[in-house]
Amino acid sequence: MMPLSSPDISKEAQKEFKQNKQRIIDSLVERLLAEPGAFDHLGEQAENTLRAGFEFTSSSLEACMQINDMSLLANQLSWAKDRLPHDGISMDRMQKNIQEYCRVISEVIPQPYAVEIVNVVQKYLLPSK
Amino acid sequence: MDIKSDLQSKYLQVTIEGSGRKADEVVSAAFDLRLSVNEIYLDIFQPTGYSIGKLWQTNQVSVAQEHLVTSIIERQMGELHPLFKPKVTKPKTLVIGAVDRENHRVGVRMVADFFEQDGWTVHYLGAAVPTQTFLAMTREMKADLVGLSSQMIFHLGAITDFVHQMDNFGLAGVPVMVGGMPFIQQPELYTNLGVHFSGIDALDAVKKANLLVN
Repeated sequence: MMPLSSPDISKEAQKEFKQNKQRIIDSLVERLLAEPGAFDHLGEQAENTLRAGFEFTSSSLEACMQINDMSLLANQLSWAKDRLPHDGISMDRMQKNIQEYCRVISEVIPQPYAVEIVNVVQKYLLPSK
Repeated sequence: MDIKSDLQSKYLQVTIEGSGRKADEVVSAAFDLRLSVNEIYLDIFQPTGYSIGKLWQTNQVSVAQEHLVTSIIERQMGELHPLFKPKVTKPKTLVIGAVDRENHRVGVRMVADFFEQDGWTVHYLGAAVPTQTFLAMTREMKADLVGLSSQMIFHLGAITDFVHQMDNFGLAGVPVMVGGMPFIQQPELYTNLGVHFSGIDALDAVKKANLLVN
């Protein structure tokens, strides 16, 4: 069997992210929903839409860390740019959500592991305007 | 537009409209035009699968329509399966399925049919196969090759989990092939996963497997 290459994201950071993934999603969704008027247009689906989106994002991020290939996240961003406007999430909103995601990761995961992960998120998942 | 593209375009249209019977007519027309069953898989079913995913992504069809098209393709694959009967058999065994929690199975079923046609003994396990039972079946069937499919990026970790546990099941040395959209988007991705190769389609997978497994 061919050897697996060494990871770009440290094993410790991966472990922290895996352990705290659900907490990050819960905290992020709660914070985003608290922003007045931001998701009123989604009605009762607002929480589900945000939660599903960040579960998808977090699981993809976790998998890319595990297999040590962050560039796959670029495909996810491309997919999200196509899909999310139809789910009521504009490009501006997507950018704000990802920035908030980074802030929550930094608050929940100990430094310096958070920095490793946030750098990847900003590089591959933050849409340009 | 060439014949195959024309047929594929018609096939996509009638399946989105929900007409399995009209889809049957397209397949019949393809046979009348001397297309092989392999070409029907690779040039009609496969691009239709990709197209319907893209159409959902851009909100041009609903999830229900996407499932409808997939169901028609799967039904027709079942009907065409007898045409994949091998001319000769080979002393090679493949155990193949979609990894744990991966529900997309059309692509991996296509690969299974092509291996069967090539004379391999194929054990096709379907979608979302839990890793432990997948490994146990691989051992039980004395597989010469394992095929793992992951269409979604977030299921790729299940492939590395499988690979890491092979030793525990006495499967060290059994080659592993992988497939799915991430491997089409990034053909060298397999090298990161500790597996032997990926194929861009069913035909490519069979060719590479025969070079690797003697």
